[in-house]
Amino acid sequence: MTDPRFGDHLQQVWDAVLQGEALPAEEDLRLGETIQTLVSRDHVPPPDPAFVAQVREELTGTATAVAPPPSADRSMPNGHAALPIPLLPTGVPMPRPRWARSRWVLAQLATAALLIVTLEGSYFAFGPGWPRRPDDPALLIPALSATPLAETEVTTETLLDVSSNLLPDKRAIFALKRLTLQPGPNVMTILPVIGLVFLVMQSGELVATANDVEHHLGAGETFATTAREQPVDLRATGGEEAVALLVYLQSDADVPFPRDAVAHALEVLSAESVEAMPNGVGRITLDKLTLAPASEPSPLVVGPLERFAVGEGRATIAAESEQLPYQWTSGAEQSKVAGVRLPTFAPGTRLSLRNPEQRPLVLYRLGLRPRTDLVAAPVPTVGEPSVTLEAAPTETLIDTTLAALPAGRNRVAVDRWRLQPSPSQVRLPAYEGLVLLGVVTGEVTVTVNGSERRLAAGDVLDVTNQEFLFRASGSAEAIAYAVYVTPSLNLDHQVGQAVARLWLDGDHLVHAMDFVISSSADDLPGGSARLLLERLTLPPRTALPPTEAGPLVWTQVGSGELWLTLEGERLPYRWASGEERRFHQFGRVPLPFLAPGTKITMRNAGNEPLVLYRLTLAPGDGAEGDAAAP
Amino acid sequence: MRRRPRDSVTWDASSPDEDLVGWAQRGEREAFGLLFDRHFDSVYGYCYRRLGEREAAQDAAAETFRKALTALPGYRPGAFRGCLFTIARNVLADAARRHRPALPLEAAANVAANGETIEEIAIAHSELASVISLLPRLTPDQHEIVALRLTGLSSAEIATVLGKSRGAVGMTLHRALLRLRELLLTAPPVVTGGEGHD
Repeated sequence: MTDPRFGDHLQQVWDAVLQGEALPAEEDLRLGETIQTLVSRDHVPPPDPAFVAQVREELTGTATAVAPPPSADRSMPNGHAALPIPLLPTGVPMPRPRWARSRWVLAQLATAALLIVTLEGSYFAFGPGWPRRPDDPALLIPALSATPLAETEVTTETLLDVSSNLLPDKRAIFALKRLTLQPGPNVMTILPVIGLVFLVMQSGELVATANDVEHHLGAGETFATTAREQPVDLRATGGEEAVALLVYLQSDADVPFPRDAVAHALEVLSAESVEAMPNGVGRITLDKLTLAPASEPSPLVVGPLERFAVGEGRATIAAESEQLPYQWTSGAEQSKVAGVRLPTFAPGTRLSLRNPEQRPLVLYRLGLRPRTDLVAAPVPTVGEPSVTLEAAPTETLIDTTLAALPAGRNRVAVDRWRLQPSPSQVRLPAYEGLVLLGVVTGEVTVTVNGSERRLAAGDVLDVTNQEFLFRASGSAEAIAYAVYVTPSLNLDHQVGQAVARLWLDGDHLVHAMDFVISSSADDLPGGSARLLLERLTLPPRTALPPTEAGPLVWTQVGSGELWLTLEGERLPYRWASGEERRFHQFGRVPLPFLAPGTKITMRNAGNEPLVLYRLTLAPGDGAEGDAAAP
Repeated sequence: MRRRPRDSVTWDASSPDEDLVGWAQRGEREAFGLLFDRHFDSVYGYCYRRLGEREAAQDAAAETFRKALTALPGYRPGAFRGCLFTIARNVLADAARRHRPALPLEAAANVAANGETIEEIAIAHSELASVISLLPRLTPDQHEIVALRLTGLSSAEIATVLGKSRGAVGMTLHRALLRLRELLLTAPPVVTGGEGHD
């Protein structure tokens, strides 16, 4: 029965149930009961409002800020002069390669002026025991103000006040997040980012491990890292949870903080994009304002590039300015609780804050301003490649012709299976479209419809529309690639179930699977085609000559770091023509869709080989198809 | 008569989707912000019903709007909401795939260390009897259609999103309801009001 009236009738029943109307027919009653039960058990937790606000801001661009004119240094509330702290160019962690060491020396010479300017302040800040090793990827910064300055109804405590000549030299994300780590073995990892990350401890204890060096942090201490090439692991120690504020300026798009979502919580208090600081020199401040219960201190005026966030309690805020954020009316109060992002207020906006509750209200004020009194350091750009290759060393994994490529919209995916010799089998369900299993090394036995086929290296089996089982049947490890071009949206779920079964059955020691390519195609032409799966390896410090993106080519990073420059008319969101971005295996950030004709330049700026997987479909480049049918 | 963007001199939160799309195409990003305000929750709800995890659903919903914004210049007037859910469908496939391997191997070890079976943990989980736990037991088509229906899309909208006829959507939904009826009859009662994973 595909009469459209049937769908309409069912909708009427559904709507009637929701509105509590009577259902006359017996069948409808049963359906209605099911719908009622279904709806009553349909619990969707609300999305994190901070996350929603962050995404909205990202999409609408309302928070984009312009670097303000330089402002004079200020004093900290406790009366001490704010101490500019030069962050050493610590982007290259230990053990550092030779090239980096030589560049480090050059950078040191060039930044001598900066060091001299800040030497005195640094001495007072850190004392003689401060670790000054140039290779140290992370700096420990003592608490800046242990004695908060009490005002009438507000207490201001400076948590962070650093100046650096290593700020991102292009548009960056400037964010304040609050991290809560439960004690336990699970770590939270700050992945390598391009920029600076500060971790300001609030309570508890934690250990930050970078380059196998452990830094023990307690309340009031600050940890800073550029974390450019090495991740930093955070783990709560002691018997209580550790709470820290994370301030970061990050100019790439990677996800910097993967974590165990059960053990750790990460709240976005403030996040926005900011323009580059002139010469990459600037000063970052973080103040904690505590308003007494039921208090209403004097209004304050928002400075350039100052952001506010509610940390604890409920704030009632009225803003007065000619340029107010969206849905704010001059002088009208709005109530904001912790976790709800405040908008960006234009410089000069007069903010009247009130704590309406009988508990303290904590606000954070995050500031970023340029400094013209400090010289810019010649920040070593990450790895100009010394060699441009004519072509990357390429290994062909699968090269076969297909009689019938699926047409239209399809999922395009490649999985890599590493199989140890064992009678234990991997079972994958049937998919329509196209499913190939290609063996690269070793021997694999595939069972389809009860019959076995033995595949050696170089063999490719077409297992489309059939459930199949496979295992390594030789005496050595086997590696096989499964290629899917399928309209099935269930692909991911079912392959995931297969992997989950391996874990639950203990077979993860025997079989391991990596997602190599996971993408889609909007409009496959169908017909005969050549399918080519390749693995490209770029040695360290090499680049490939520019190429143009093809419509049916998918590339992903297997290991290492890819620095990708795109040029063209139709680029991915917020990707400026000529801009270079980094992709690596850590953040599971896939390469974006590239419009055909986009000019691509790839390079390996790292010190490890860069492995890329590339799948190419060449329509019309095949006749009968040579993948063996089972 | 439909108000075309070029006819409307201004826009606000009450403007129809198509007007807001028109303004957004002309560079008014805040118009897109209103579309975001209007549809984010429903797109997120759909993603949650498909993925079953709050964080993954948030990411997928955000990615849906990013793609929608990117596609805005080429958008032709029509059903914006339908387009949005079509994008969400495609995003979900990628999101699910990327999200899944995040399950650490250590998770299995933790289960063993605690001495609890998978079933015990599952029973303890408050979402066992919720719809979220039942939907994956439907066929993929049924799962998708029920998720869209619970999100509030009409049969006609679902048909547009899925590229199917209204009758086919109705039939699949009917079968899904029969299957869910079986499942609900055997599922234990809901324990709590359903805070999701985080």
